[in-house]
Amino acid sequence: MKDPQYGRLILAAEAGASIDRTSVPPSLLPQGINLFTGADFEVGLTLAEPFDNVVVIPQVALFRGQIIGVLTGRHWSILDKLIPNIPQTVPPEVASSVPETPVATGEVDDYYDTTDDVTISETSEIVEGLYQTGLQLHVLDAPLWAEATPTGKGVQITLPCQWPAHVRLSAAKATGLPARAVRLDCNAPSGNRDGALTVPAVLAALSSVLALRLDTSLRIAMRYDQSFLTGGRAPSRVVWASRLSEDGLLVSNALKIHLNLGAYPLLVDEMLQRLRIAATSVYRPVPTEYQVRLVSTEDIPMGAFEGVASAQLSFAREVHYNRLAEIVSQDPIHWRVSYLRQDWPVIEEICSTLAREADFHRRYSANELVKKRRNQLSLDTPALRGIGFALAQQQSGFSGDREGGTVTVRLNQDGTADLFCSVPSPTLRLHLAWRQLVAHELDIETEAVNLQSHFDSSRYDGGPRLFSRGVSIVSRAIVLACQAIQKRRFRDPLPITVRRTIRPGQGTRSPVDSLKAVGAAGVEAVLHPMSMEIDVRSVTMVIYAGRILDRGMAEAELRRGIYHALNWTLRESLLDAELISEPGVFQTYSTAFRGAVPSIKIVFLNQIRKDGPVGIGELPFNTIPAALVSALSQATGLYLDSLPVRPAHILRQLQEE
Amino acid sequence: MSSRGERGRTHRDEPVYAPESLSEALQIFRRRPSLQVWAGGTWWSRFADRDDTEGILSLHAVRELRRVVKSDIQAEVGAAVPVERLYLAGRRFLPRLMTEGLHLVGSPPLRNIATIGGALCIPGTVLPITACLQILDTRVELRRQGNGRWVALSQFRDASGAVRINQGEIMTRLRVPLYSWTHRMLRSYGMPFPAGQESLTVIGLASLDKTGISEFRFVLVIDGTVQIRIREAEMDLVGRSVPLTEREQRSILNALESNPYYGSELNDLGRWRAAQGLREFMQKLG
Amino acid sequence: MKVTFVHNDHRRTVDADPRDTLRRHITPTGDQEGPCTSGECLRCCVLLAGRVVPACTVPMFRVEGMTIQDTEGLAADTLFRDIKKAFEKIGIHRCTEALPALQMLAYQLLSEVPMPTDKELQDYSRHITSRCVSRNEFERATRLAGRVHKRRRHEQSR
Repeated sequence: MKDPQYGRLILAAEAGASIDRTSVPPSLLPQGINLFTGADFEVGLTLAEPFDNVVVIPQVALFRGQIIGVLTGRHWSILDKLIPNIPQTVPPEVASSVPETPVATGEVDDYYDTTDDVTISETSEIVEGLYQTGLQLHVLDAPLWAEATPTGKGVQITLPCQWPAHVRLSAAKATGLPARAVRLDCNAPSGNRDGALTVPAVLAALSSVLALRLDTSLRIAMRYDQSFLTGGRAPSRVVWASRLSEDGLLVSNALKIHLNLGAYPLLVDEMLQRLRIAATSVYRPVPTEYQVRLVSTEDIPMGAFEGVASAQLSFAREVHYNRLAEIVSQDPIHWRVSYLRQDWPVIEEICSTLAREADFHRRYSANELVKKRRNQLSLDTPALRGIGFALAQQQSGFSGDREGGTVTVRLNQDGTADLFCSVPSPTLRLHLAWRQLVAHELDIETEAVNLQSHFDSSRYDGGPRLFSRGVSIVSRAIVLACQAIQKRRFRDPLPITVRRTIRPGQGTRSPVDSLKAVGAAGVEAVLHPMSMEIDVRSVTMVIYAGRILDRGMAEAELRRGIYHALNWTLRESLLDAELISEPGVFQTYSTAFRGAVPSIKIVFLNQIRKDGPVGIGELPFNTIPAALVSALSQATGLYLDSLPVRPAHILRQLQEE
Repeated sequence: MSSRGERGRTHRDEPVYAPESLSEALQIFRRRPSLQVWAGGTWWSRFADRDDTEGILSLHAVRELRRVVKSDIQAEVGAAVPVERLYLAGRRFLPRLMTEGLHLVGSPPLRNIATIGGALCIPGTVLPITACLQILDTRVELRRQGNGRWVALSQFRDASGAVRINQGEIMTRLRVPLYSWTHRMLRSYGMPFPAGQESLTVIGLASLDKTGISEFRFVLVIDGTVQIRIREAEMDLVGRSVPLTEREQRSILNALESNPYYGSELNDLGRWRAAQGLREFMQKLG
Repeated sequence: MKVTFVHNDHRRTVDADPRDTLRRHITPTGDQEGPCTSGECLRCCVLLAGRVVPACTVPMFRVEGMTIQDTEGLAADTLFRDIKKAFEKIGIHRCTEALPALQMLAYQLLSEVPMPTDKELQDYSRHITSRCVSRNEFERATRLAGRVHKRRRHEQSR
C-alpha cells in the first residue's frame, strides 16, 4: 500500500460558497496534493437514517462552515498552509436578512381537568413576556478525526464517535459497500462529544470514500477552529403569556415558541415532544395553548444539540414564573409550591431543601427591601445584590420509541465478568461507573469487571449515546442482566451469559418519572454599578437523580455544567461570522468563566424506592440561566429576559429608567 | 517537501540570525536592515507578513538584552526578558502597577516566551502593560550600530499607533523609575489583544504627600489602540488637598468627557466605565 | 533548515521552515491539541529548557539543540508525579484531552510558587478553557499537589 495520507477540510466561507477547481492555481496543488470537492462525490450524498437530510459534502454550501472540500497530502502541516489560499466562489449578493424555511409547526391546545374551581373573569390579568436566548457555539474538548484504510474487501475505519452503527451505515452508503464490508473501531471519546452528533459520520464517509479512491490509509482531522461550526445550541424566542385570576392565581398559559434549527434540522420529532414536556415540566398542568415554529436557515446546524431545546424553554418558563411571583409579591419558591405536581413529593422537597441550603427566603426578602428603598444609582451605591431561583427536570432517553439499550453480561468461571454494551464508547467515568455497577450487583471486585471494546454494532439500536442513555438506560439493562445472572448463579454452570434490552416509554405520552432527574438552582449575583460587571457569588443546586452511581463523578459533572451554563448566560453570543475567522477568536469566544469563582454547593437527595440512575448533565442549563437572570433582575430592579446578559444592556436599561 | 508561498519563494531557505551579543546583533542588522526582528516571536508567528523580509534576526540569545538591573532609583530591564521572568524577578521591587500589567500579558506559559520589549513593539496595539509603563515615565533605549538614544515610552508611537523606530534600530532596554506611588488602579475590560476588539483599560496613578496631591495621572486605552490622557487636568490637581471636592472632581470629569476620542471611540458602557473609574480613583485618594 | 532537538529523550532532526511552530513538528497526526494558535488554550504546552511554553508559539529556529518534554517526558519528574496523583485524587484526570494543559499549568505554578495563595491559584485558574474541568477542581488539585510535594521534599531532606 502507498504511504498514508492526511486530509484537511475546507469549510465554506459563506453560505452559497463553492470551489471551482479550474480557478485553483496549479502552485497550490503540487505533486502529491489532491483536492476533492462535492463534484467528486455522488450528488446529494447524505448520511444514513435518521440523519438522511445531512449532505456529506455539497457542491454549494448551505451554511457558512459547511465542508465543501478536502485537501489530501502526506504532511498535514503543509495542507494547513495551502488551504487558506484555495479560492472559493461566493455568491455575488448577500441577502439582507436570512430567509427562514418552516420545518415544523405545532399547535396544541391542552386542556386538563383541574381540581381548583377557578373563575376566569374579564378583569383577570394577562402577563406576557418575550424571552430570547442566543446561540451557544460548540467548543469540543477533543479533536474530531476519522482514519480509513482500504482492506481489499472493504474498508476499516477508526474514529471517536458515539453511534458506531450510524457511522458504519453512513460509510457504507457513501462507498457503496455492503455494511458488513465496513469494519469500525471506535475509540472512547473523552470530554463533551454529545454536540458532535453527525460530524463523525461525515468524516467517516469522507475518509472511507477517499481512502478507497487514493488506495491508501487516509486520516482526516478537523481543526478546533473548524469545530466551532459543527453545531450549536439553537437561538430561541418564546412568547409566554399567562392569565391570572383576580386573586393572582395562574389560570392558563399560551406559548409561542420559535427556534432556528440552522441548515439541517435534526431529531425534530424528539424536539417537539421535549418542548411540549418542558412547557409543563415539574408543574401541575394548566390549560395551555401551545404554538411551535421550527425554522431552517442558512446557519450551522442547531437545535438537536445541547439538550434539544429544553434549556431554552426552561429559561423562558422559569424567568416568567419568577415574574409572576413578583407581580403577586410572593417569594418565588413559595409561589411555586402551590403549582407543583402533587403526585411527586420529591419536587417540593427539592424546593424546601434549596431554600434551606441557600438561605433563600431571608436573602430574597432582604434584597427586595433594599431594592424598594433604592432610588438612584450613585457612586456610593454599593454592589447590587440579588438571588434567583429556578426549577426544572431532565429527561433521560428518547421520548418516543426510538430507544434501545442492549447489554450482555457474562460471569466467567474465574470469577471475572465481561460486559458488552450496544451503546458504545463510554467516557472513562461512565466506563468506571458501569464496571462498578456490575461489580456491586455480582458482588465481585471492580477490577474483575472488563468492558469489552467490541460493542454490539450489529443491532441498529446501538446508540447514539445521547440523552444520558449511557447512565440511565444502559445502567438499568446492566442491573437487569446482573440480577438474572444472580438468579442462575448457583444452579447453572459458569460461564453464564445474559442479554437484556430495555425499551422504556414506548408510545407513552411522556416519559416515566423514573427516567427523570429534577433539580433546583439558587444563584446569588452581584452587579457592580461602577463597572457594570457581574459577579456570581454563589450557586446552590439540589438534585434528585435516583440512584447515584458515583457521587464524586456526579458532582464533578454538575460543576462543569454550572460553569458552562454561566458561560452561556454571560458570555456567549449570537453568531458573528467575521468574529469566527479573526485571530484571537478563541480568547473572545472562550468557554472559560473568567469571573471570580462562585462558591458552589451541591446537594443530592436520597434515592427513593428503586429509582435507577438518570442523567443530570443538562440540569445546570435548565436552571442556572433563569436563576442568574432573575437574580440580576432583583439586583437591578429591571426586567431582564434574554441571554446572554450583557453589562451594556443593563446599563442602557438603567439609564432609560 | 518544501512549502511555497504565492510568490514561489522557498521559506525553508530563509536565513535566521541568532547572535549572542548586542554588538553582533547590531552589526548584522546594519548590514541587513530588512530582517524581521524577533524577540519572543509571539506576534510575528501569527500576524507578520513575511514576503518583504530577508530573514529573521532573533534576539532571544543576546545576553545584554536578558538582564534586569536594579538601582535605588530605577530598574533597567533588557528588552528580551520574558514577561514571566520579569514578573518573578521584579515582583518585590518593581512598581505594583507594572507587575499587575505584566500579569495581563496573556496566559502564564505564554508569558514565558513573550518578551517585554516585544509587548511594547506590537504594531498598532497598546497593551495594558504598555500604558502602565508609559504612565510610570518609562524610557526605552533604541540602539543602532554606533548610536543609541533614549526616548520616553509615551513618545514611542505616533498618532496612528505605529512605533517610532528608525531603520537599523533595535529596542534594547527599558528604564523604569522606582518612584514610590501611594495610589494606583488598573482595570481591564474585554480583550485588548489582538487590537480592534472591544476593550477598555483604565489606569490611575497618584501620589500624596503632606500637602496633598503631588502626582496624578490617568489614562484610558480604547480597543487596544486609542489612548486618552488629560494632562492639563492632571496638572491642575497637583497641590490640591484631599478629599477632592465635588466641584474639583466634576472639573476633571469634564476634561475627560471633552476629549474628542471619549465621545467618538467609546460606547455607552465604555464611557460609563471610564467615568466611574476616574471618579472612583479620585475618591480613593481620600 | 535542519533542526535537531531532543523530544522526550529522543533525539530528532527535522527539516523545517524556521517559522514553523514547534507544535507542528511534535504532533504526529495533525490533530490540533488546542483550539488556538496563540498560546491561550494551553493544550500544546511543553517544557522547553525548563520553562512551560505553548508549543504553538515557539518557532523552530529557537529549538535547535534544546530539550523538549511534554507530559509523557515528565513522567519521571517528582513534581509532575505529585501533580498527577493529586489530579487523580480530585478526579480531574478523567478529561484526557484537557489534562496535559492543566498539568502543565499546575507544573508552572508550583515550580514558581510551591505553596500558592488563593489569589495566585485564581490568577492561574482563570486561564483554564477546558469544558470538562472547573476552575475550582483545578485549584483544589494544584493546592493538594503543592502540599504533597512540599511534604515529600521535607522528608527527603531529613
